Amino acid sequence: MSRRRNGDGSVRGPASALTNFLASLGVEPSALNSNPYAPRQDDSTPQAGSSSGPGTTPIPEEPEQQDEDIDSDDLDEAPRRPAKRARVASVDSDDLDADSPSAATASGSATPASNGLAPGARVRASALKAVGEFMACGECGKTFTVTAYTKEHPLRSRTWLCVQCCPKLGVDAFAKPKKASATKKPVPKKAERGKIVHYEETKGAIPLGDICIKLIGEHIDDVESLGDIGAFNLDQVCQIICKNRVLTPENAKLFYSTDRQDLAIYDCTNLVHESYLALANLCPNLVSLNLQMCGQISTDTLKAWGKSLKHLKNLELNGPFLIRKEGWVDFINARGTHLESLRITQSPRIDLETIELLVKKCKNLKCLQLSEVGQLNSDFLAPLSKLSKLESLAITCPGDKLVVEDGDGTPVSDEAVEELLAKIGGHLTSLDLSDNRELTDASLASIGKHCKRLSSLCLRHNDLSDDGVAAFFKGLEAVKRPGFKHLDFEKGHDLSSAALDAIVSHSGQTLEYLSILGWRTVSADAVSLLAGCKRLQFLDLGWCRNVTDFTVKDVLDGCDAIKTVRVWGCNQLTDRVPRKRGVKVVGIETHAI
Amino acid sequence: MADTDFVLLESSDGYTFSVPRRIAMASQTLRSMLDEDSAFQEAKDKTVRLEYRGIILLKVIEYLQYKVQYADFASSDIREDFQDRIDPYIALELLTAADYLET
Repeated sequence: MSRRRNGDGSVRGPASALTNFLASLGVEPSALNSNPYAPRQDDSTPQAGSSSGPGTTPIPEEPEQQDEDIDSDDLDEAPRRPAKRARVASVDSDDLDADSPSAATASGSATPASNGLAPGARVRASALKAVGEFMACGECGKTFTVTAYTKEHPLRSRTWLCVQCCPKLGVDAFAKPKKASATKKPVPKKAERGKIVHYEETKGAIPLGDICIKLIGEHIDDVESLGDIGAFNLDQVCQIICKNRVLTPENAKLFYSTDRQDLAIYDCTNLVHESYLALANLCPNLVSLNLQMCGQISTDTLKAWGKSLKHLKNLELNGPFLIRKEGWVDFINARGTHLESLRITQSPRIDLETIELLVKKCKNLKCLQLSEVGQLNSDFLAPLSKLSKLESLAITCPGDKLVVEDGDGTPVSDEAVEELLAKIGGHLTSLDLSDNRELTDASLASIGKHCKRLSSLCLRHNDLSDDGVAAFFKGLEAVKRPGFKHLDFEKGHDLSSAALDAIVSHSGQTLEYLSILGWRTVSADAVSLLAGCKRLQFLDLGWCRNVTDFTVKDVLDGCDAIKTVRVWGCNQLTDRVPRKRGVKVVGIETHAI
Repeated sequence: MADTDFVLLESSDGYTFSVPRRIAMASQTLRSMLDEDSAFQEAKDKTVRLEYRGIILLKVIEYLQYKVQYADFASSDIREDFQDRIDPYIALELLTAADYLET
């Protein structure tokens, strides 16, 4: 029954390559398999009538299938290949019943009941038709309309009853229709289901590092037995454990101690609220706390810290996105006056009110970083102008523009930056306004005008122009402003040689860190000028496509203090990149291949 | 690379270990240092000086031997647990060495 229905709705799909190929040879699909989709009138054939005529007993399935085979063959107009025959016939059988309204009715109702049998007895057994079509009743032989409620004859299988005949035979005409039972896949036995198949097989011994970490975990409650390796090495151990991503609430205890003033944990993914409470209780003398990936820190954690960490001055949290506003408010109220440095990355709950409270309470704040704070917008900058002791400010990567607009604020704009820097710019030594896409050359002008003590400037991925940056550094040179030590203009896609020339001529003698990653059009000659930067230690030339081996040679020869050069994406470099003792050139493509 | 090919590993406190090259190569760091195609002094001298104490280095070498021995075994088939051979007292230091040597 269900097969039939499925066949009904068939739609011809796209032709395969084989079909196309055959078509080009003149073999038409109609000759092979168009039949399944063609309307059929097979039930009107003589075989059908004669086979169902005398049968009062249900007609078995098998003969009918044969009937269908024969029928379909007879009906096919086009000649057919013998090999295809069986398959085509069986496909056709799905459609057999759908389009034969005339046959059953003709043999059933039109023929008078003359041989003493019940009128319905002569009705040919067939599958149920689609709802809305006509069929002959298996009891009275009259034509009726098939509905979802149509029931099978209780005695003659595969014949169907009209509504009137149902009560006579004790069938509830309006019982809920049974859904066509879908062919169920064989369910595997329970034992088989429970079995887990491991497709990955690890080979060889467990790495020694893993063994050591496991061992440390087992002896964590007896820290004495682990020996003392000194604070510096302990931090190294922390880095190694975090690198392996296996820092747990248990082995984190290794890094807690009452005499600790600094604590940095680089992967707190597995630490939960209780571990942070333990941290605060076991390290009550912490002055600086740096937690990366501390996703499970909660509002309550921060509230508790406000009470227990009595000496905390510097706090850096990366990813504390569960902390709600109350948490920040409580903590700022408790520790605000003592805080000197607050660096927060990724907190969607910090809002304007929180910032206003922060400004009011944290009078001694010297360093503030708000990165990826979702609600941050232009309005946040106005209160910040009251932080008169601020030396380092980072407002980077505020929320998505769409989100910000939704919260009736505007993205951080040139005007807001100008207003802020006019008030606090004079004290700033470090400024980071990366990833504020609305900031343009106008902000550079504000920086040049107000920030007279700046030594570190980070303007990644802003909307700056080559001429604008060049003009900025030329302007600084003209007023004899001291050079920068740290410059980061990563992803300044429009910046090019003019900007770099100006940077070198202004800050060349003082520069220690420079990143011009993504300045794709900057010329090799301009980069070679960096050879004059005698103090340069770190240089990122990533994706500067014109850089060649000779450029790198100039830099290595000229920069006496250079330690690291990063050249990811500089595709003109070859294996013959010059080397220099003590210098790492990282990211040469040909080395990786 | 015959078994007669030995390299020297020196510890920070003056111990010297003569190790078959095959065993030393189980450490990625040592492998790079001793790579004969490279221009490192270590490769030329077949001597690597490591800033770890002899007791740590001894255990590292012991592990490298264990690693080579079981290199072709499935992890689940290894019955001998190396953890039993480590004194917890040196675990932290051994961890830093293991990390550096990429064992």
